[in-house]
Amino acid sequence: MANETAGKLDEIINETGKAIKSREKAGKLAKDIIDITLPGKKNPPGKLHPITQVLNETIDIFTRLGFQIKIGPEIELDYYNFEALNFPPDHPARDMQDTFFVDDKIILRTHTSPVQVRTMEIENPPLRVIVPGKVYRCDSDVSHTPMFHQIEGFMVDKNISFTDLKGVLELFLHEFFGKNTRLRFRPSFFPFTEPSAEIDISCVICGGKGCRVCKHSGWIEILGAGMIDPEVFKYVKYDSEIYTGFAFGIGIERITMLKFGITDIRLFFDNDLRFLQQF
Amino acid sequence: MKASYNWLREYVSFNITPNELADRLTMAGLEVESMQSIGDEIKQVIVGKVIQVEKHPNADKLSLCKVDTGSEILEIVCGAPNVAAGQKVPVALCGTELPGGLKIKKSKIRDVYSHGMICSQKELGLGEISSGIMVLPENVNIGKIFIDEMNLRDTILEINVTPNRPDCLSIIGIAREIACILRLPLNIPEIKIDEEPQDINISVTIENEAHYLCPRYTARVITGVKVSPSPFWLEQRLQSIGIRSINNIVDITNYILIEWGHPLHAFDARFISGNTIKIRQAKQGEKFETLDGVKRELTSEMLVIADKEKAIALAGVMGGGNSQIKDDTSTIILESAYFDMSSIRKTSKKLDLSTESSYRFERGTDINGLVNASLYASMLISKLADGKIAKGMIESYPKEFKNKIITLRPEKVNNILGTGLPVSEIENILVRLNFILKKKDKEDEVDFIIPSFRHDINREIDLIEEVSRIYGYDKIKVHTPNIAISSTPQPLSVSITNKIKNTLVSCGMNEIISFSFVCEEQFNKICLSSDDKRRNAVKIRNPLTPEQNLMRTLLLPSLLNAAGYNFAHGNFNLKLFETGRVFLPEEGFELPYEETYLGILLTGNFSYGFDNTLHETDIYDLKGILEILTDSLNLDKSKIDKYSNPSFHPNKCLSLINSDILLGFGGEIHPDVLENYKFDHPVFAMEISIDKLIASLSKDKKTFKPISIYPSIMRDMSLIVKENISHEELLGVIKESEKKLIEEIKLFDLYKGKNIPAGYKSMGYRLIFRSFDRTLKDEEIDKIMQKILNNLEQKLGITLRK
Ligand SMILES: [Zn+2]
Repeated sequence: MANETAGKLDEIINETGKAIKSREKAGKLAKDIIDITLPGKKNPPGKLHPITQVLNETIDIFTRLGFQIKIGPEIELDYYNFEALNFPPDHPARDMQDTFFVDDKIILRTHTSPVQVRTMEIENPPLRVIVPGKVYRCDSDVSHTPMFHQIEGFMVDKNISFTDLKGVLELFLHEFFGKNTRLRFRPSFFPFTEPSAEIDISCVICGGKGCRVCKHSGWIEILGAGMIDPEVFKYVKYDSEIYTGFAFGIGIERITMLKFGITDIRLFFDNDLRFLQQF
Repeated sequence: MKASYNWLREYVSFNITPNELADRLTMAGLEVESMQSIGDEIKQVIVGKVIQVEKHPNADKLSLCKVDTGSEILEIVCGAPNVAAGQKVPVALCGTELPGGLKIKKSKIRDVYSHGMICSQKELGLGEISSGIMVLPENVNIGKIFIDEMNLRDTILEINVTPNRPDCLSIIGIAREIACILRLPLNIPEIKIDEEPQDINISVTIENEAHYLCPRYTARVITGVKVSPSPFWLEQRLQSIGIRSINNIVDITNYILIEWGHPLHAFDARFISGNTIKIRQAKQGEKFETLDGVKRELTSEMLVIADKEKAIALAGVMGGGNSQIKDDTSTIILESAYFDMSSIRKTSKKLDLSTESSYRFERGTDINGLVNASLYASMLISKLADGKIAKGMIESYPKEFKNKIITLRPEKVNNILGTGLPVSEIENILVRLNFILKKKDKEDEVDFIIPSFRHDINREIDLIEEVSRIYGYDKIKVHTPNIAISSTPQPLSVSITNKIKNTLVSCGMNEIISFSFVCEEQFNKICLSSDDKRRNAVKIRNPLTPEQNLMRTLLLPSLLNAAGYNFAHGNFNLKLFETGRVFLPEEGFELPYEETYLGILLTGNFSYGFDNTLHETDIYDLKGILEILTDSLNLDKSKIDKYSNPSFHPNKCLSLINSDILLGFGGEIHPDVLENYKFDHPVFAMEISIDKLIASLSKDKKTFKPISIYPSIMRDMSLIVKENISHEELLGVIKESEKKLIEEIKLFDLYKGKNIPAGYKSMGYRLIFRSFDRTLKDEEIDKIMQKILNNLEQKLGITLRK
């Protein structure tokens, strides 16, 4: 009996003790407050340069389509940069690209297209290649810097036609700028492609209604392309009766500016931390 | 190329708006870059009639006019000497703003109110004439809008003509395209001239000594010319596309240049000695003063037009001052010629002299069209300058031009374009482009004769392009190529560079991209020693600025420039990196060796969160990044060692070495360099060759090391160590003392100062022991610890801190 009572008492004491403890705990927890608005503790990671981010995104889209990356020299022979791309010496077509010269035979490459020739010299079709890299032109203002980045792409195989060029570029541009982007292919001239095209997209700022960025045309010029000229195939000893191909060149600064709404190209190379950390 | 909408309509009667026209041209390859409406700025100006002119009561040179504006009679003060009653004139009413910003308002001129202004051409922005008011033809209607009555409303299209299409550098050339695109006829007017009985051959002869550079030369002689200002329509035409009116003769040649695309040149016959036109190469060093007053020295590959004694024109580029048209010129020799394209281009480049004329000749003019251009110009000169055209044309044309004939396979057209165009449609397009169709016996081939103005059409593919361009790129279908599956890894240089970039970003570093240019001054600023081979850089012949005349051989200047830019903009805490090529000239190679480098720069203070003290960047932060990098790349043979280089602090310079190959070096920037850059904080930087690093990458696969299932024992020790003893030496002794059971040794504290004797430092180490085959006992670890401490004391004089 006594035992029983004692047992109950113990139980009561136990229970009471537990209750007190839990109340104490609750009191302690209640006092232990934080300011949830304080910043989190971290060693913040840095950022890749916006140009690198867009290069990576572009490369990623094309490698998913089976394109391989090739690279080549930035200081290049006139032969690869111009001659083998069907820019004859003393031809006004050379004025299209303001060139930095080292001497009469050596220049800073004005596009990454020389790698097209370098690749075709040592490899046989079928080829699906992209060439990212720095290029140089002697020009400097709000929309030009003496150095910028380009991705040249090309594809050579049997039965490649202009429709394939349209297909691949539409795929890329829809992926990069969104499915609702409208495209416009219009004739142009590049010595190393024929027929040549310039591709416009509906203005990413105004959607095509017309604004300052698109000079009120509703269109923005985005890349140059075309069917590889048989003359180029002649230089690399491909038979243009068997093989055809297309090539295109994308200015990375330009699409990066459109993507992020950057209005002055020089910001990319000032390397101001306040700029770099935004992307 | 600027083209006037109205002017184009004289040659093709199209009915589409300027906007539609711009769109159609753009989609056919003649990109319209911009459009400008003409006349808008003076659309408030109306036609008025002067009904009375009286002398101004208070000013001799002013007149007081009554002008009928259709709705009222206004009193207007006018200063022009040519104002007269009965004239119809342009009137700017009060409230009108004229080009140039002049606002017309009611104003008192010498005590008399003037209610508007009668305008001169110049005031309306329509020309150079400012000496008098503009007098309008009789047939304009009073009270109506001036620009509409005068038909001056126009749109100027700025067309980007690509270098392959010189035939479109003219109104007629563009009209020809429009005619083709819109399936309309091209209306070339009939040219009729009245020739004088006197034969041209009496007055001038041609000696062509360089027909390979001048395949065709023609000249006409026009006498009795009266040089005077051009009529309003001609002046206005030229003005609208930005060409200043000079006099009727010069204006006519300019007009033909724009309309026909053929540059002509007019000589004053008085100054042609020996009545002879001689086409010859210049003498080496021959001096010649061009129209623009510049004395030039010629070289023997340049072509000149000369007379018996001297050069009178730099062929196809610019005329000479010695034979130019003057106000009293009466007999002119009108040149219309065809020059070799590359010769003109070389001359123009060499003399840095590009003109409307050289621009067209170097791209290619129409060897057949030049005759009509000359005829049309002669006709205008006879009409507008009372010229009498001598009979005939003298000509040197030794080898007649033969039109190209190109074979086209319609099947090839469809193969290249991916279309299914019927042969008839292909033929139709090309015929509309003035290619002459010649059916062949073969079913699957067609020949086309190419007109002389199409220099760009030489091969089948050129014809295919023409078909595609006129057919319309937008009509060509979209097709995704049938792509074979392939698997080729990315080049290591790309994938490893990406890996490095991602590792550094996760370390808190921001990527920068700098121009590849440097200059000698920057080598000096980083104290590069005078014999350092990186001073030998590739030099750019035509740099944008002298500060960008070399291609970089190292990244350090780029990194320091980026830091300097940030310091100047208030960003003092920087963790930056860049990957990029350096360009190293190599003996015996045409092109320099391009090596990809990684550059790292650290400076300033960083903290982890808000309640942490600021940590000032030091050399160990730099080393830490290197360690993370080598670890992430599995560079297990790499070593960081002391190094020495004038850009860096003598005691705080380190190198990254892998199997005896120097991958890179860096450290704290030398105070002298900091001074050169005017930096007042320590800066740390490092450069590593990514190419050498890739070459050093271990080919070994990572293999699994088993994990012990037994518990570990941990011991800490605080040591008093002589300052000159290195961490590495100390580790060596510990590892030597116990070779099996130590799992990890960690330095957790390094302290100098209070409570530590001078010349000593306190170092706190944590040792973790573990065995693979049993649970360790405290006693055996005690023994090991004792052995370690004994060895440290005996070998390095290190004692436990009390
Ligand atoms: Zn827009």
